[in-house]
Order: sequence, then C-alpha cells, then structure tokens
Amino acid sequence: MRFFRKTQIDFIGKRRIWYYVSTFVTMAGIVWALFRGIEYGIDFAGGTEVQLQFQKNASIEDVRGALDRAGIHGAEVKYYGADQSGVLIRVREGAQGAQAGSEATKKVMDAVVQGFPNNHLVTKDGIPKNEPIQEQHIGPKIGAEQRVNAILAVTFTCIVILIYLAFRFRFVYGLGAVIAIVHDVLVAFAFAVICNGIWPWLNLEMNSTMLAAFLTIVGFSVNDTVIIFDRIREDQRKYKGQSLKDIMNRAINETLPRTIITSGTVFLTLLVLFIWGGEVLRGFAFTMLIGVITGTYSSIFVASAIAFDWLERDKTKPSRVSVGPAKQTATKRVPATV
Amino acid sequence: MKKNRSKIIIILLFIVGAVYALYPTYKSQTLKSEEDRFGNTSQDSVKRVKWENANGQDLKDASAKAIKLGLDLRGGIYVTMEVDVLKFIDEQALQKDDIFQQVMDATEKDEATSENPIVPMFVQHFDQLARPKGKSLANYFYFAEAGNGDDAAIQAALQKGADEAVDRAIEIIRNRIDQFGLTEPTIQKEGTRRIIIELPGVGDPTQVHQLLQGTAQLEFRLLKDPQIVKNVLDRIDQHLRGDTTLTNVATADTSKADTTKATAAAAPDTAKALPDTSKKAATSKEATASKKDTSSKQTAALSPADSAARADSIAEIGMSQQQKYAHFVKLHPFTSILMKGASQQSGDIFATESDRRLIKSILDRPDVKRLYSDEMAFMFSRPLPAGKNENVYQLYFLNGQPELTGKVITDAQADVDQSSGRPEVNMQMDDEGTRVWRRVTHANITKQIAIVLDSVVYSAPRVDGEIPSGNSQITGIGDMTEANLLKIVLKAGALPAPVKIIQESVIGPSLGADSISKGTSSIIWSFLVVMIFMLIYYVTGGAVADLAVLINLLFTMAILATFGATLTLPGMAGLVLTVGIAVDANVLIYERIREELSLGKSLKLAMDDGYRRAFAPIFDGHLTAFFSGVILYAFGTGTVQGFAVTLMIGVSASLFTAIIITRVLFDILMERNPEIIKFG
Repeated sequence: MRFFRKTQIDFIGKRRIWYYVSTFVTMAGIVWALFRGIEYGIDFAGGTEVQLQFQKNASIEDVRGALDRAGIHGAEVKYYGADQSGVLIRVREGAQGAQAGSEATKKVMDAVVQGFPNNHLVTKDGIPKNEPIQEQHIGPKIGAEQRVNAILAVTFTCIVILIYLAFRFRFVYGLGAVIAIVHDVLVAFAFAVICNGIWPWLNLEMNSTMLAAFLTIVGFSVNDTVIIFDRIREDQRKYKGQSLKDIMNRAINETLPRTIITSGTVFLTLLVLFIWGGEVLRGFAFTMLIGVITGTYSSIFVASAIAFDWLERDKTKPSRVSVGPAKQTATKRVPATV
Repeated sequence: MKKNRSKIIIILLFIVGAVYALYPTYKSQTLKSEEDRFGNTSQDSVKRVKWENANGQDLKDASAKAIKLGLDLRGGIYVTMEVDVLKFIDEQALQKDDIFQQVMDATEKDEATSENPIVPMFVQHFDQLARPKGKSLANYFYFAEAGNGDDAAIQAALQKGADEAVDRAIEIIRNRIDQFGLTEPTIQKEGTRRIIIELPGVGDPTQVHQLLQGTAQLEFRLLKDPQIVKNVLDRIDQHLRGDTTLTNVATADTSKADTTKATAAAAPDTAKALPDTSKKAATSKEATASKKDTSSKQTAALSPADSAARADSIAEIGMSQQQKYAHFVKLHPFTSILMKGASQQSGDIFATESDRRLIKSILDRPDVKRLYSDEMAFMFSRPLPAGKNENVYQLYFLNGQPELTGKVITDAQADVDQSSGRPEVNMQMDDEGTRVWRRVTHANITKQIAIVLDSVVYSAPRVDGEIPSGNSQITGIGDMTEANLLKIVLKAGALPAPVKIIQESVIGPSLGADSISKGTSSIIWSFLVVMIFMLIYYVTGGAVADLAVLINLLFTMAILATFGATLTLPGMAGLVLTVGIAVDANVLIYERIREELSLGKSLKLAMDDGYRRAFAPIFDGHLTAFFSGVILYAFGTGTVQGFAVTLMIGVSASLFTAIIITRVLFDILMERNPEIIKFG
C-alpha cells in the first residue's frame, strides 16, 4: 500500500507566503501572552494547589462562593477532569512554606466541606472522603527558579543543536534548523496560550510537563529537518549543475512520503494520548500535536527556505560595486555543497 | 545465517537478559494482586497471615528488583527541603542585641530575592551595619575551631557549619524515617543545600512535617544494670501473662499487618537467623570484651531459670520440647519474644524489623509503659547491615534518664588513629559538659554508655577510664563511613540543622491508580494504532518493524528495572514518543528501499542501499533526540526527569532494534523465503 506517487511540488517557490503565516502565528502568541498574560502551572507559579473530586457536578461559582465566605479571596478555581465534578483550587496563600501551605489546604477543605452540604468529596474510586486528591505547596523561590530553568533548557538545547548541525552540515543550514526550532516552540506556545485562554478546560498552563513537550518538539523538529538536509546534500552530489531551488524541491519531494508517514503515525499516537491519556498528559499531548504539525511544516518552509534564501543572497552579493577584493574572495560563489 | 551468527547470538542474549531483568516486575505484580484478594474479614486475615508467611519474602525480593513507579503513579508525599542558613546563623549567635537583629533583618530581605550564598551576604551586612558601631563577629559567635577568633575564622566556621548542615539534616531525617518503618523511602541530597524526600504511600502531610522538622535530641545514656533489667522484664511478663493476644500471636491480629511477621517470630522453628554479634554493634575498642560479661548477665536475666519459672519447672517434667517451649511462652510472653533474637555467644538481644515493631507496640501500651518508664528505657540501634533480607536491630536496656544531652558537645571529628590505623572519632565538650562527663565516666568505668539520637542508639562504647578533659576518643569503629556517621550524629546534638520545606506534593493513592490505568490503556491503544498501520502499509516490512518495536519496549523496560530508574506518568508518554522515533527509523529505511526498488534494483541490492543510505539521517535524528533528553534531565525536576530517562533509554535502544535487529531478521528471511519480503 502507498499513499503517494512521485510528487513534484514547488515548495521553495511558495516559501514567501508561509513566511507571513509563520510570522503572524508567532506574533499572535507573543501579543496574546503580553496582553492576557501566561497562565503558569503551580510548579512555575508557586503557592498552594488543591485538587478535589466531588461526587456530583459542582459549579465553579459555588466553589468560589464557598471560599469567599470562608475568607479565602482571589482563589483561582477551575474544572479538572473529564466532567464538571473535578475541581482545581489554587491560592497564593501558603506560598511562604509548606507549613503555611498545609494550613491553607485545611482552610480550603473546611470551606468546601461547609459550602457543599449536599455534595460529598470522594476519592478517584468514588469512596467518600474529605481529603484532596492531590495537594501541592511550592515556595515562590522554587517557582521562579523553575521558570528560569525552563527557559535555560530550551535555549541550551538550541545551542547544542546549532553546534551539532554546524559540524554535520554547513553553518547556514544549522542556523536554518535553529530558526525552525525557535519557530516551532513559539508556534506551539502561541497555540497553547491562546487555546488555554479560549478553552480553559484544556488545562494548557505552562508547567514542567509543558517544558517536556517543548523540548520534545525541538527534538522532533530537528529530526525532520536533518532528514531533508541530508537528502539535499545527497542530491547535490548526484545532480551537479542543477539550481539549488530544483535540488531542494527534489529533496523535499523525495522525502515527503517519509515525512507524512512518520508525522502521521506520531500524530495518531498523540491523538490517542490526548483523548484517553487523562488530565496530566492532555496538555503535553495537545502541545505535541501542534508541535508535530509545525515541526513537519517548519523543516520545509522555515529551515530549508531560510537556508535557501541565505545562500541565494550570498550568490548575488559579488555583483555589488563597493565590495573590496578581500570581500570578493570571501563571498565568491559558494560551492553547492551543504 | 552464517555471517549474522554473532549478531543473532548477541540479540538473543540481550532478549534473555531483558526477560530476566523484567521477571521480578512480573512476579511482584502477580504476588501483589494475589495479596490484594484478601478481604478484611477475620477469616481472610488468617489466610493472609499464611499467605504472607509463604510469599512475603518473595514479594519483598521481587519488589526490590521490579521497575519502580514514581509517586505520581503510586501516591505519596514528595518533599524538597532546604537548609535554612539564616536560621542556622540565628541559632548560633550567643547573644542577640538590636544591632544583630538589624543585620539579620537586612540579610533576610536580601535572601528573599537573591540566589547568592547567605553567609557572605550576612557578613557583608554585618560589615555595613554592625562594624561602624564597634562590633565584630566575635561579639556574637564562638567556635572552638575558629582558634584566635578573628572574623575571617568565624566566617569560615559559620560557612562550614552551614555546609555540613545538609548532612546532619539528612542523617536526622533518615534516622526518624527508619524508625517510622515507612516502605521504600528515598532521601537524596540535591546540590549543596537541598534534600529531596519521597515517601510512597504516606498521605498525611502534618505527620510528615513533624517527622522532618523537629529539633534533634542527642543524649548519653548508661546501659541498665542487668539485675534491674531482669526485675523489669519479670514485671512485664507477669503483667502480660494470660494475655492471649501475645501467647497466641499466630491467630491474633493485634498489630495489623505486622502480625504475620510476629507469627514467624513466635514459632520456634521459623525463628530468623541472626547476625553474628561479635562482628558488629560494638563500637568501643574493648567493647567486645566487655560485652561478653554483660551479655552473660543479660542472658541470665532472660533465662527461664528465674523464680517464677522454677516453680513451674516441675510441671514441665514429662513435657516434650515443644510443650516446654509453649509453657515457657505462656509464663513469659514478653521475654520469650525478646529471647528469639538473643545471640548465643554474647547474649545481646537482636530483633528483626517485624519483631521490633511488635516489641515496640507492646512497650508502647500504656498499661505496660507504666511498669518500666520510671526507671528504664528500651531503645533500638539503627538498622545493622548484617541483616540478610530484613533489617536487624539491637535492643538496648538503658537508664530512664540521660546523663548528658548533646548540647554540651562543641565539636567532633572522624579520624584515623595514627598508631593502629583504625578509624576513631574524637569529641570535645564545653566546660559544663566536661564537669558532668568527668563524674559520669569516673563512676561508671567498664560500663557502656549509649549515644542516642532521637531515641535510636548509634553506638554504645565502654568507658575505659575517667575522662577529665572533655576530650573523648571513641575507637573500635568498623570503617571510616561509620566513623563519619558517628561524627555527624555527635554534631547533630551540638549544631542545629534547621531545614525548611520549600516544596511539597501530596498525591492521593486513588489519583495514582487512576493515572496508571489511564496511562496504560492510552499507551497500549496508541501502540496498537501504530503497529496495525505499519503492518498494513509495509506488509512484511511492517511486521518486522513491529517486532523490533516490541523488542525495543522490552529493552527499555528492562534497562529501567536494572538501573532502578523510576517510571512516571510523563515517563509513559516518553515511551510513546520512543516508539514514534523507532518507527520513524524503519519508515526512513523502507521508503528508501521503495525508492531504490523503483529504480529497478534487485531486492537484495535495494535493501543494502536502503539501509546504508538511511543510516546517517536516522543517527542524526536519534542523537538530537538524545540531546534534548539529556538537557531535560539536567533542567527538569521530578516526574519530568522520568520522561527524560525513558526517552534517553528508548532512543538508545532504538538504534539497536530498528537498524540491527530488523536487518538481521530480513537477512534470515532472505535466506529462507525471500518471496515473502515485501515493502507494500
């Protein structure tokens, strides 16, 4: 069985439209984050988080009301789980330490138990018990530290990959790949923050599982890019004298079946995780789903396209008048190897 | 076949090894589910006792080698603690005036926003605020090791005390957790100031706070005179006589789950083998010698030949050995439990983990406590390494009141004795301590004094002679590790190790179970989807790739089990991704083979070229995925590290399974039935 006959799509020729699309999506994410803020998970934000399971559905307003009556104001309350019986409550109180944290939990528990005389709290197996399913207390220092670590991790990964690819291919290609990675992370980030704003039940807050998703996207995207680059290099040897555009298009078309099959299978597995994997993995699976799409897309329209534009610009440089002799040699026709 | 022989042998060896490594996981799973079948009825609890006698040890062994599940999957408490250097400085200050308080406040303000080390920060504020007012560090601190007492030396001493605080805190916490008998706790040092503690199966955070945070109590207690020990034990025996729950432990269910083990202990034929005492437990140089005479006395105290027993010994005539024993047990319900672990040579009393719990539960009963608490204390040693499967503890009979508390210790060092080359520990005391210590040692030459931290005996050296100076030397220590431990313990009494909890997660067991079932089922479904797709799309190639993926999963799990790595819920997601990467490798190869075939090459040549040309991109892809795993491990925490671990292992295994194993499989097919090889 096969889905594809030989394709001959002019990917490189259409790159400019996609530059605009990519820029638009990443900017949208950044603008959204700037104006609406990023919702951090408890491990990045610090504070106390209590996860409760009601026997019957409970409304967010009622929970908030019960907390307000008990003097806990400004708590963040949202649904957590398949239906509206699971609730996540987050308070800034108790951010100072665990001792204060468990007191905050106790206060929240008392408030909820009193506020819902007709709705029991239960465990995940449905046994009535006035205990949280999960509680977390995270000092503000740890939260800040983990946010910094997350950014460091992504940055560091990009640098390592840039170095590795600069060794394996020419520097321009490494640069193209890294720009593609940054693009993918930003696109996934954009989708996560915007979708989280529109559908809060998706629980796409920034936390350490999300960090794992971003770094996995990085790995996936590089993998895709490297496979195309590898084929470009091979085709350059095979079809000497052809234009770079033709060679790149050919390489992308040749690897297209593999690209679609792999991305398709990974997409399917992630879809299963997204639907049935439960609350903890949902954010991860969602972000990865976006990442798989953008990773595949960016290896063609970002990584290859930027490398192409860069090399083409280098070629046109010698025609400029004011270039001195030293520069002349430096910018002389770039050999068509990757 | 021939050219691949060595490869095939290696592959088969790996598979056998992997199955071997995973067998304990399978076994512990089956045993656990068997155990869970028992209900809560009394009939069931008898069955459970029997079952645990037969299988308890197997279950324990298997669990030790099984894949460990993260707290997010089993439920429990995860705590990160940090040494509170500021509090440490505060507690070290001998006097606290307004100037000192100002300095402390300024440092505290800085600490909240800065990551810089705190001792230099404190000194800097001190220089700015206190020094202009004519104060120096020596006005507030005194350290024996700081010598001339200039500020640099005091700063160094403060820094050293703060740096070592983590080790002290870890030992104090480990000691308490051991006493608590929690299952599989892990205590790890992270960086220089942090401690990570995982307590599976614990649900109450307030209990844990008490466990982790109280101040440590170090004491010196004299070992009790054997005659008094005997009297006390007699009293307890008399009191407990006729208590059927004890004499008939086999059927009773007094101490919940512990009953099983207690049963084993109470039945003479199942008494556990105890360690050779002459080897361990003695810390004092001459302790072995001294132990021998105390021991004979202790045994005497415990022997059935006391007055109460003699009266009944007539009744024992004509009884079988078994009956005699049963009779003795009836008369001495408590002593007979202790006797189980009495060493034949030294008479020291040892107890296995379960016996210890049983003995403790008896001693903690208020009616029993009344009988001894005025004059005597029962305390156990820390777990002795001699225990083969279960931890073994030595039981000490100690004075009810400590002679001294650890507050008088000013310093302690672990050293190697110059002449003998054996490890030793030196400790120094302050003036008041020296005075008391001199009196105590003078009055108790040849007796043993126990060093007790939070009710656990760390060592019980014998007094060789009066110690007038406060400088004591403890010798006869097994090795340097033990000497260091003793040093840490002695210092724990002197220096506080203030720690604060900076992060805590409490995961309910029902959430863990829910995550396991959701995670497992979604992962199995996603695997099935991929495998069926591969089979349809690449036919034979798909089947071979599927087999390789299964072997990859087998290897990944086996490596997880072998290295004791932890499987978390994100780790499960890592498995899914690994499968994606492994399948991608085969997709690359197969697409390449299809291309080569379409060029009109023979199947064999196409396969050779396909494998060769696909290798570079596969390798690059795997390597970059591995890189992101490494970085994620370095920067991530807790459960996310679990993801990084499975990703790294899975990707490494995939290079082997997706390339080498599939190739060998194709070669075998090629030789036998090349006609069935199809790539769709």
